[in-house]
Amino acid sequence: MKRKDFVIIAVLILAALVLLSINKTRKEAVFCEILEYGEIVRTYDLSALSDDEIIVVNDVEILISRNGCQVNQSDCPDKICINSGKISRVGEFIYCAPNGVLVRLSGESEADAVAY
Amino acid sequence: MRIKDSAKTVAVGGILSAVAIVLSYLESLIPPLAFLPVGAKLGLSNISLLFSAQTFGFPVTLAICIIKSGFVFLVRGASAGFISLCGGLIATIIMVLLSKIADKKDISVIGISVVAAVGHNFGQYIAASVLAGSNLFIAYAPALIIYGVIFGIITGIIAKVIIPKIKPLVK
Repeated sequence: MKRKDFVIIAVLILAALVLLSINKTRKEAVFCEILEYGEIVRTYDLSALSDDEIIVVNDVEILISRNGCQVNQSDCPDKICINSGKISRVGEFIYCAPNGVLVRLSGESEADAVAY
Repeated sequence: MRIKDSAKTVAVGGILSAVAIVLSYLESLIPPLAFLPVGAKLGLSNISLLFSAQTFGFPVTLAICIIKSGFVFLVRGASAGFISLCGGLIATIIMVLLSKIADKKDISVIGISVVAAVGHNFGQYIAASVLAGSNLFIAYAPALIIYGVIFGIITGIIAKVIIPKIKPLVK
């Protein structure tokens, strides 16, 4: 390993730490949007949700609850969406590429920009 | 380039493509580890690309990258193929450019591997963002960099050991 290698690695890790500290300020999500091939098909206000909801979009079964979302079932080969587990913070997402389904969480400010 | 040389390049390029495909398949057999995030992979097939970038330059490396993504396209579908291609293209460009200036700038194959791995991760997330019609990578950018660095070092060390041993065989 040469000296410049360490410089490269140090710069990259530093960049990651800066981005990480920015991410730490992310708040608990308020809105959940479900997209199918880039089009918003459903929007949920998580804070207004009384009971857990389960919906199926393009063979992907999504559980939506007050404190986050997760994919329960999907017919895709890799199951990356299911293994993504539960998401709860603004900016987090679950993406099932084979089915083109995206579950993403946003905060108040972003959701305000979305027309209902 | 003499005819003998170009035949050799095509043959070795074909072998490297096959190696890249087999490595990415072998990698998929490794069970997902609990402490790793979903989808984090070692990127062993980058060793094949690294070797090509250092030995043959851009055209052959690009061909290997496209053949490997074509295999992913056939086996795992269009979306996986597209994501693989975008990651591979960025990694290929980084590897070829850095290999050209590596000696002058005092960068070893490990450094090249690290930058290429991080670039590969971002390429894949850009592809996924295009498919999803949504900007996906901001929340995950730190993870993309960190795992790119860790796995880039591992594949870089493997490449550093292997490349000098194989190079005399194809030159």
